[in-house]
Amino acid sequence: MDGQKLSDDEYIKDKSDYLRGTIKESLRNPLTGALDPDDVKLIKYHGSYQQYDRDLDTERKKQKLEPLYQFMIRVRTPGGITTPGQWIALDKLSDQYGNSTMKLTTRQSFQFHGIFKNELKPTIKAINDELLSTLATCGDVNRNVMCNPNPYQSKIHEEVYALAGEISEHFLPKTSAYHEIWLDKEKVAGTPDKEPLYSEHYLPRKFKIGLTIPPNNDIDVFANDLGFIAIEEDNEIVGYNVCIGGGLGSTFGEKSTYPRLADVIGFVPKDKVIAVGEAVITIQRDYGNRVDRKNARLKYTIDKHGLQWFVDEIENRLGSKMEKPRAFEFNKNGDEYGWVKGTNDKWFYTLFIEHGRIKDEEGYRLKKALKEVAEILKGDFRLTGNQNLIIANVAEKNKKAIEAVLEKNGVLNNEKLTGLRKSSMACVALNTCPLAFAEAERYLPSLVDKLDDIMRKHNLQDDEINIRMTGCPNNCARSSLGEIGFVGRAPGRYNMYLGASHNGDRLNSLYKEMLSEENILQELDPILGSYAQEREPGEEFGDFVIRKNLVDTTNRPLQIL
Amino acid sequence: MDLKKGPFNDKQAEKLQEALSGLDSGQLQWLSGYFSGIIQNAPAVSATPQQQNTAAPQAAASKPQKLHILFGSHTGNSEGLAENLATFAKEKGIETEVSDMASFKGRNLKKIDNLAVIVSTHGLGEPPVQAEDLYNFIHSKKAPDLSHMKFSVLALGDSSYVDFCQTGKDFDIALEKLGAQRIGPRQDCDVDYEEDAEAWQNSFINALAQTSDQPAEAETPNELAAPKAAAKFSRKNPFEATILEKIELNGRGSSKETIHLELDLEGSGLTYEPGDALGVYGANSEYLIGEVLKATKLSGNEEVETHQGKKNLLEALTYDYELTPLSKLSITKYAELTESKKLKEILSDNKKIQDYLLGRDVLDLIQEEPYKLNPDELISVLRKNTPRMYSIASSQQAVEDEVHLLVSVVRYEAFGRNKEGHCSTTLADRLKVDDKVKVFVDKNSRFKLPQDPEAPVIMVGPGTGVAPFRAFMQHKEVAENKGKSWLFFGDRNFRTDFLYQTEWQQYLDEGVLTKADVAFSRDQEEKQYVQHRMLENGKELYDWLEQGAHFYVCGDATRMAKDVDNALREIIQQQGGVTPEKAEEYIKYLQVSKRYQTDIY
Ligand code: SRM
Ligand SMILES: Cc1cc2nc3c(=O)[nH]c(=O)nc-3n(C[C@H](O)[C@H](O)[C@H](O)COP(=O)(O)OP(=O)(O)OC[C@H]3O[C@@H](n4cnc5c(N)ncnc54)[C@H](O)[C@@H]3O)c2cc1C
Ligand SMILES: Cc1cc2nc3c(=O)[nH]c(=O)nc-3n(C[C@H](O)[C@H](O)[C@H](O)COP(=O)(O)O)c2cc1C
Ligand code: SF4
Repeated sequence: MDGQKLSDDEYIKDKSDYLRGTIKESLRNPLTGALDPDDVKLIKYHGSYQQYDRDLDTERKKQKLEPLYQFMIRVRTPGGITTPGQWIALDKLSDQYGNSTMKLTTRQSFQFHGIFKNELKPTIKAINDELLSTLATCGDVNRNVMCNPNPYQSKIHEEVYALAGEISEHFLPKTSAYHEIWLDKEKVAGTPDKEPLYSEHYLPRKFKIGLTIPPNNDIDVFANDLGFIAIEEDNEIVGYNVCIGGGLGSTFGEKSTYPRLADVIGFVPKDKVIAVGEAVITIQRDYGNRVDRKNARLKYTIDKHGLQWFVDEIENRLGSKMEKPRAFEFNKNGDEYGWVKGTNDKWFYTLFIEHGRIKDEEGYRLKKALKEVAEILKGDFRLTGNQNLIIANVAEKNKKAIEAVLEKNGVLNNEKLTGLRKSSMACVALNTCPLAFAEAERYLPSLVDKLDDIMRKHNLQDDEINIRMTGCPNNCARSSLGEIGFVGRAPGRYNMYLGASHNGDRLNSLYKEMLSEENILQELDPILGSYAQEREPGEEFGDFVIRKNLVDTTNRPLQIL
Repeated sequence: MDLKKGPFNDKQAEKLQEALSGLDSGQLQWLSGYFSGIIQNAPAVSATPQQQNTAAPQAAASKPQKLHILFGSHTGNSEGLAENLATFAKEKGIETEVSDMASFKGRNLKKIDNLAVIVSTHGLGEPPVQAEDLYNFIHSKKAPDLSHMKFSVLALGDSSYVDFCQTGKDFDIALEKLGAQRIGPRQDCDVDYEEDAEAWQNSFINALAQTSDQPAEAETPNELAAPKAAAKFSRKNPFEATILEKIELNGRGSSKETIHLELDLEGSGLTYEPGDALGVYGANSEYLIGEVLKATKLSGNEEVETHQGKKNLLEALTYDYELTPLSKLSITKYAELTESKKLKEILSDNKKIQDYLLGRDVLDLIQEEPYKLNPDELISVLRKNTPRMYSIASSQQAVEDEVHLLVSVVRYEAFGRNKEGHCSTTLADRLKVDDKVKVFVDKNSRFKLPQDPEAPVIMVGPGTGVAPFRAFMQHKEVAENKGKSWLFFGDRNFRTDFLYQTEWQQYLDEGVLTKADVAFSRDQEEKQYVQHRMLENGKELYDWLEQGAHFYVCGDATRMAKDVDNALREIIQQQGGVTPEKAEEYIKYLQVSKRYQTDIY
């Protein structure tokens, strides 16, 4: 890309002095609730996105008021674990500064919405006071590291979880800008910032790492730029299969962009994991596309230079070869609900949380319930990769008390919990996401109500068919991996995709475009009907539609070298 | 013209003849551009001499007047094409200007002779947010006559949507409706728009080049010229202005209610300058009239003698007299009729009168001192309907036949009833867009921009006090006067009460406004007001005064104006390092030299 004009973001990074920019000045400007445009990009690295209430957009425009600017803040929780104390603190913050809700994300972290400019600093400071951080939860760096919150093999999980934390820590930016701007730390004179790994231009694009423990793929490991699949031999982890090049986002009408699953390229012993990470990240740093952000993710770097070239380059930088991938098997990418007992004899309760939104509603006081649980819980909370929550490490004798709290607040065994709903995911979309073309989180629940009538009609109410909706093709709720996937095109109009596998190793394909709710119901009714009639024993919906050729499987399958 | 004479063999000539027969002039014109486009892209050799001295060079030769390119883009495609067109046109020697619909002021359409519109469609057939304002403007009754304009539209879209390129189509039709002439047909583009866009670009530029030989009969109206007819309308004989626009400016959840009004003065011959006020006649609310009729046991159909001649009581109570607020006159009259001791007692002492008036209306009076009034007695008790003044919030140079007002709606609870401001609630509740309201211009020679356009101005206008400063800004923008300007604004809450926020932001960006400081009293523990901002900026403010700045204050007289005046004195003492007496002289000097002006109420 020599001589070529780089993408604007690259120049912003370049003159930002290690992500400082003019954020401090922007925060002080009293004439607007927004930041200077360059700082809007930079603040992402600090864990926040500038947004505005899109519901009020046209109204305020007419009123000659600027959009109701507000900020989303994303917390860094590697592997999605928090202590009850931290939960209580975050819950409080969401009331004090946010919109009184918390969003459990598809990458096992927390998001606050509706934070106004003048509240940013106190909020971020308070989060850090709880020994949590927001640093690098967004921006062209390594994001929150995912780790399958596996309740069963407690000991194994402990180890993988610890590694997730180590990776997260290791790949954090080293600039002190964050501490200066939000935590009032003075910059120590004569200590120039250094980014040994990233360089002052950081990565060309966001970067995502996830770890999982077969047979569970609830973090959708193949959707990550870099994934590690734990390999066990007699209850000991011996190492990890490495997979690279996952990424689901695309742009309508731009053929050069597409969802892609990661390829499994080899096996490495535990002590090589960080080194592999460094190799992959530095290759992306050096070869990634810095001209066109739409083609900058690792997946495009790999497809540009070829998978084998990339593997060779990794091994060059490692100074050693990787072994052939070891055998592994995934059974599903959804969550199991209710109580299970871990090998540590503690109990784990997985609670369905519709699209990860923690809030109180009439007769369904989820936020209150979880705060009360936190007050009595001795164990911890675990966010799953499917926007759900595990109340973890509960002693036998305390189960009753916890159930009682959930019961009392109308949160336990909600009768609306059909197989379809349990397997539904939706991204945030409106009213906060600036990129949304259509509703998702606020709409999918009512669509599932209507689909459940159809499911019942065909006696499928207990079948767990992954159904996922996103408000745009960025795919934040991984709709490309839904057995039924919806992607917003325009208000009330969705593209419908079918045929992803039930365990996250096959993408779905386009079935029809621009469907209204009416169209969706009309289209799905007969398909579900024939599934009920004609499926083979144990055949999952995604596989069924492929067998019936309802969609073609032109999607590039993931490769295992 | 015989094609056989052209550089073709007979077969070609016949084919062409056949192809061209039955095409109308518009289509032919489009083709000529299309061909010139082919030439541009074709290797030079393939172009025969004849072809070259047809379209392309001709375009270069004759310079049409300026081409204005307006784009409305959400994801940048239209913007990109607008830039292409601009470069292409410049190469053809055509002067061009590109504007984003997002910031383009609709009224400037009048000043454009040749217009290219490049706009996409979003939502479900809706204009991109960036184009909404202009889109609404050209579809509103404010849209100007554009018969002097030549135009063509390039519409971007996606054929998988039902309303393919709808916004482009709407612009195309609207411009035609406003009298503009289409040169070259509209081109609708699908997601792969490049080629279609290029073809359109060529034909359009070419067509433009050809039309330019006969200069368009542009009759751009001289905006600054005052209307011929001397104003025959006055306080006595108010003009019935139509309400064009009415917007509540306070965002959701606000504790304030402030409305922006746009009235149509067309045909009135009324003229005004920034700093003038508009007199407005209100009408009483049905509710209050009803209550008064109940209390007096009258029907409303009775005929009464009014200062406007004979009328039926209901009409008189609605338009010719006031029921709120209560006036001394009313108490006096009523006391005479009722011979009420209590009222006489009150009337004996001004302080008592003041206290009694506060928050009461005629209904309170009648209910507290019951008396059987006949229709004419009732009328005799009432105060004639008197107009309310509103500082004009627009500059006639900018909005021409319109006049804009900023009205704070008066509502309060007193003596067990919700009370409503007579005029402000007439505007807020009882009149809607398209209704008429009686108005007249009230000149104010003591609140005027400096004679010297270079002189700095400092404007202190919290709440509705900001109204005349919007007029100042509009004037400065149109008159392109260079002087520095500094606004101090304040209200309750930043997020909901920052009146005209986006306009101030734009004026700052454009440099029309140099500096702005704001104080929102209820956004933090301790109340903050404009005078606090002044004091914080004392040094700079004093420097401005020393540089000859004019200092303006508008708005609340009861407290704000005094606080601001004190702050000003304090600044002069501190920064000038002088005694209170000297500061007093300094203020006096500012006042006599018309550099300290106030419009307070
Ligand atoms: C909250 C979350 C969805 C949810 O409902 O849980 C989310 C929300 C947003 N994502 Fe995402 N993404 C979230 C997981 C994902 C995933 C799923 C995953 O990583 O497993 C993907 C697909 C995988 C991938 O990265 O390809 C994803 C792909 C994107 C993209 C497309 C990236 C690409 O290279 O194609 C964007 C847009 C961009 O980066 O330009 C995006 C951008 C956004 C933004 C920040 C919109 C923006 O850029 O202004 C959304 C904020 C909405 C809001 O109001 O909160 N988000 N985003 C998830 C937060 C994860 C976290 O805690 O870090
Ligand atoms: C030169 C000038 C310029 C002006 N410019 C503007 C302007 O730009 N914008 C604007 O909004 N106004 C402006 N005003 C004020 C405006 O003229 C009216 O006075 C205002 O709109 C109220 O009129 P009304 O008929 O609605 O209320 P009225 O029926 O006249 O009622 C107002 C009266 O109600 C009583 N009252 C009000 N509030 C309370 C309370 N809380 N408790 C008890 N009694 C109360 C007081 O006696 C007050 O005088 C201006 C006034 C002047 C003289
Ligand atoms: C959310 C959305 C809605 C759209 N709706 C329409 C539509 O209703 N009709 C249409 O013709 N095109 C529609 N389009 C397509 C755009 O007009 C097309 O992408 C165009 O090239 C965008 O140009 P711009 O980048 O200048 O905005 C839509 C695009 C988006 C993203
Ligand atoms: S998928 Fe699109 S709409 Fe949904 S959160 Fe992500 S960016 Fe926003």
